[in-house]
Amino acid sequence: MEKYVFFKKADIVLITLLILICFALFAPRIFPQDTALTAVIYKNGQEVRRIELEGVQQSYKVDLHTSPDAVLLVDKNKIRYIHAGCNDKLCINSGWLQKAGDVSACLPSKTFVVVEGKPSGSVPDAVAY
Amino acid sequence: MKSKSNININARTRFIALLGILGAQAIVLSLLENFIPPVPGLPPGAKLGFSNIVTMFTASTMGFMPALYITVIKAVFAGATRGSAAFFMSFAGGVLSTAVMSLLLKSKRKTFGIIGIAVLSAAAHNLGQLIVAAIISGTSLFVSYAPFLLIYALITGCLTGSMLKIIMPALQRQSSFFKM
Amino acid sequence: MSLFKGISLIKLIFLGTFILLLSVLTGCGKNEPVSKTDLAMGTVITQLIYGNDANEVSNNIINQINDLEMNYLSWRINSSDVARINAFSGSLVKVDSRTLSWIRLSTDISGNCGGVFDITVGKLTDLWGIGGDNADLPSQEDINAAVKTIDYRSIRLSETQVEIADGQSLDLGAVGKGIACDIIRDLLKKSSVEGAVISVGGSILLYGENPKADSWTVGIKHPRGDSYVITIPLKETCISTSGDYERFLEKDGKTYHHILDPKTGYPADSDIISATVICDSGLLSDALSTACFILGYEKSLPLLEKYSAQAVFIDKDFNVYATDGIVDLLSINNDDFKLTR
Repeated sequence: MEKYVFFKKADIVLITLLILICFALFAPRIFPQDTALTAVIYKNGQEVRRIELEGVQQSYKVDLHTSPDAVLLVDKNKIRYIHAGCNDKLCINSGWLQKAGDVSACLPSKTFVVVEGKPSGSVPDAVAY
Repeated sequence: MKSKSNININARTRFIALLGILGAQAIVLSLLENFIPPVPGLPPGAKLGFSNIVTMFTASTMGFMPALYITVIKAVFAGATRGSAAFFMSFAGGVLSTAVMSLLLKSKRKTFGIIGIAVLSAAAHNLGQLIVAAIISGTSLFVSYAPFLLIYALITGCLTGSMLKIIMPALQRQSSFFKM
Repeated sequence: MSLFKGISLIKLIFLGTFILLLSVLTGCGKNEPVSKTDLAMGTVITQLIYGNDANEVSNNIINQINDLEMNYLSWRINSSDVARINAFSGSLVKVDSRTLSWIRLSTDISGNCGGVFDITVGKLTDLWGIGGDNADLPSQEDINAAVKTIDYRSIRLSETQVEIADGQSLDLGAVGKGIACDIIRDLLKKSSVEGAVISVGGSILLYGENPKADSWTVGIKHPRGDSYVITIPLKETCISTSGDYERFLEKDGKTYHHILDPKTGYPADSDIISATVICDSGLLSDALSTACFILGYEKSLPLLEKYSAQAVFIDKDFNVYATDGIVDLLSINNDDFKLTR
């Protein structure tokens, strides 16, 4: 076994090469669509609505009926704040939420949106009809 | 020939005993890594592949066939505990990675060091599993995981390669105990 | 390497395969559920069963459903309990104790919902024949005559016998699928099945634990589309939906659905187009979903409370209503549908 060398120049070349390949493969899909996304909307710390973003056919607005007001724009696989009555507009500037874990909050209206990767349990095991 | 046969049998018995020990160690390692929490974003079942340490040691000191033997033991264990899909995944990944590491270890030019070989065999392992997953599920959906798995192979390969370096003396002492 | 010659690769693979086969045969692959679809009781039965004896159990389930149809509920097969009760209307007919208990529970529900659910609607459903080949819009005269025969209070029950009024006819069609769910649950309890989802023509039994998640997830069908619009995570329970889209008759540009109001003799005309009831008993959930469909949201609430059942309603304008116990669990995944609290 002594004749085997632990680390060689070729290893460094190999690892660098592999890292480059990975980047090349990842580039066209920085936002992976592997999981169906669900937007969960909270108002005053309470979950008020869930929207399964995959099923959205046409974009539409959701008014959260808050003061100051906050309006969300829902589109296929993404969601964002589009209108807020507050001053800082932080929520709007955070742009589209389009991958699992993305969060945007509008503190003045006490609302926030979390995008969740759909857990395996939410595709129904059966449909009642 | 007659006088030698006795020694031969003994040597073979020792050989088999050592393989048994190594096989058990491979299984224990793959059991142990079950306790490591799953990495989010990776397909369920993606493992660190600690047992590759044993396979690689076997491949380097004893050759391809004994290493393959370890691989089969591992696959059978996976099959017995986690079902037939696990067997085929483990088997395909194991055979491919063992073949890759044996070829690289045997090559005259010795291009890669332990780390490089570990990375490449980890990548081969993932490739084998991916192919089986695609066949079993009948979809090519898993192919989208390929880049993740490549990164993963990079990390785990470096990890297992380093660990092999660390525990190499211990494994060699174990082997010498069996006069191999 | 030379030492290794005795143990060939072929032998190793052979051994491996043998041990694998053994492990599969002894049920080590139990995490794979049995998933099956069959036709029975004139409807589609889908089964998803986790457990060692899942295959055997799923076959038993189909046998039991066929038995239920043949010997108990069918009004076409002369030897069934229901067919015999109808054939000998006006006199006592000896039936199985289970048939008795189903009829007893059904009349109990009828009493609690003011008769909007009534199993003595046989003559009326027969007259309309919606879903059958000869469905046609009946005359007002015929409808009036059929409605007159409907009255659950004229059912007489003894220890072992049932009697309906002369000219009356039982139809357990509205609860048949639910009864099947109850029977299947009894069957599963006797097995070593860990978890199962059985759909008997859209009436669903959730049984045991879901090995793949904390709970089971049930969808409610889009009343005007193919997919589901609402999902609900649920533990062991029964779910039944009554909708105007299931079976209907089209005549002169008007649609007549199959859920008939026993009072008017015509398809029920509440605002509701889909009513889903969730409760422990399959028969109850089936019967209550029919009653809720006819009553509408507001009027159903006392009835649902009485039987500790939860319900989800969808009205003509796709407004969604749900009882308090379940409203927070709903996920609506279609934006045409608005939850109203």
